[in-house]
Amino acid sequence: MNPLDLVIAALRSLRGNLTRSILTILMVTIGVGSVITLVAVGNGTTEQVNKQVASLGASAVFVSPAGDNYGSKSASFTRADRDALASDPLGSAIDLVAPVVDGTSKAVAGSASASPQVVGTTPDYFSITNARLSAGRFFTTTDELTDQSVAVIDATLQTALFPDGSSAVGRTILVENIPLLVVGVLAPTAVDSMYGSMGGVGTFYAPLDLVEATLTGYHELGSIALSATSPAQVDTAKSQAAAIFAARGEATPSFYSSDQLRETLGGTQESLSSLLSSIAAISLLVGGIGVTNVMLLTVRERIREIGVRKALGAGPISLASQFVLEATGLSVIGGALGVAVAGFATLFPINGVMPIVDGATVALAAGLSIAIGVFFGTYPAVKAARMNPVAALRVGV
Amino acid sequence: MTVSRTAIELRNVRRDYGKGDSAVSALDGVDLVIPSGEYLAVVGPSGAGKSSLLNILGCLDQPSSGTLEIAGQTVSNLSERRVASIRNSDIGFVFQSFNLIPSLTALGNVELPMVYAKVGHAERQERALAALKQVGLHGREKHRPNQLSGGQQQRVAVARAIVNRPTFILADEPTGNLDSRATEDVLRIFEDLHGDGATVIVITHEEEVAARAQRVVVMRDGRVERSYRNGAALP
Repeated sequence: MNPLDLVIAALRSLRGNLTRSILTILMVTIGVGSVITLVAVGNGTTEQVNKQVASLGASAVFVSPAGDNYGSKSASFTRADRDALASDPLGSAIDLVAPVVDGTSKAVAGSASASPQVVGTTPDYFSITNARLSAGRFFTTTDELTDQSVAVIDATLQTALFPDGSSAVGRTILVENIPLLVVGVLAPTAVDSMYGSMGGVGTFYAPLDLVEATLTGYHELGSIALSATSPAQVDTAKSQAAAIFAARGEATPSFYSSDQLRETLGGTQESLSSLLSSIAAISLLVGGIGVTNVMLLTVRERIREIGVRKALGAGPISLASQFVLEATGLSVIGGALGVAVAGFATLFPINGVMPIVDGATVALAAGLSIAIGVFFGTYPAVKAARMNPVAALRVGV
Repeated sequence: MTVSRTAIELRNVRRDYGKGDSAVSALDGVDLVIPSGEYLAVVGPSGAGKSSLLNILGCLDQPSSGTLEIAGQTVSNLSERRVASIRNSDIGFVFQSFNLIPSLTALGNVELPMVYAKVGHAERQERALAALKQVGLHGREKHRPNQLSGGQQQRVAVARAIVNRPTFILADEPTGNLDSRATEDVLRIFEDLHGDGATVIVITHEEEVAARAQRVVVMRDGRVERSYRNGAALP
């Protein structure tokens, strides 16, 4: 049997059992479609995590005192620690250093109130964390030196305090009865939107002295934020900082960099992705078993035809190829439709994630669908080819 | 059609089923020579071994012992692929229940043996049309089996059997499912084919069918009981 005749024979018999063929094709379509779509969702999530982490400042390192375990502050930093880090010897990988005191407070604007986080720090903090403004300006060294009561608030806090949607810039908010002039509002980041949707309370940033004088009192620093001279220098910066603390006879503090955040978030995301992919792979397997099932049924139904074809001189290879081709026809049509369905589905965000389809996944899924046809069609086909013609011809007589 | 003078030769062919005490011999040493161009009928009561003989002659089954030669070639210990090729080129099957492929048109069914013989498209169609014309089905090429009467279906089957110009036509109760008119049509086609030099073997239990053949072989208990020529003096 020449190849064209084989293809024609296979298509004809698929058409002969149209409903069953369509249902089997549907199984493969679902399998292939879900593999592509779910892998694309995984890719989209990875991309989103990377963007979130990048928005934090790729060179940022947050240093917490040793033994600072989830709020139980058994140790703390002093300004002398900050100065030691900032002393900037030649060749240091440490670029900017910002002291941080933090706490929570109550903020009021008109009839609205909120309980934001307070961050008292220096203007360098904004550079370190790669902060972006949506309106106004950051507070400056001049503000610090002239004891201005100014604050920069984030988008979440602006929404909480000014629910009518007006800009907070130039407005005064009361924090613990101390009026603060809002000079800038930070642009919402991916992290903000994540925490915001989880009921985040917002944050305001004010000069370190101001926060200490009015809110927290003068005592130790909660943490120190520093930036490496480049993202590649993050690890060097960490070890240099550790060396400085060691030289000062202090315990090694804990470091937290955006890399680690990437790892933490990325790890969660990865396990979720592989879970999704496994589910998709299972549905592809189910589709394949569906193909075998239908082909076994087809072979059983056509025992008589197989007998006749053998009597007319069909060789074992011709017969097996015919059934393998039928199975492959089912899975290839199903695979092509699956690619089309996935192509359409991934045009829209799924659960807030924009899926990213890559060519390799499509090629893999398409290749898999052919492989499914060949693999899952072979057993029924060989069964057909090995059939005893005498017995086959006697069936149903 | 073959140039060999002997189409088929069976020598001491046995076909045993089962082993030991429970073994049953369906064919118990059959010797049969069928010259090329002969029109032969095989008759006998049920259980005489007609079907087993048909399966051996059709290369659908292998003898337990003894030899079968078709057109001078010994058919034994051949690969499945070789046997398939012999069935394709040397044997034209006609079955009691027609056995057309329901999804194919009359033309498609007749083309099938040539598809397996890897005959090209154009030649295939030409020969299939000629064969359908030969059995009087001109104009029914595009009909599917379920759109044809039993007699027409059997004529499509005969066209399919002759289209590859086999060494012999092997018909198994070809008129068993036909009314008397369709039976007459089919038997006339066999006579025409025989007239053109074809070797025709009909396995039947109907006397009027056997009476149309040149020679009749009577089977009993797995053996050839006797053989006689029609038109000659009866033994």
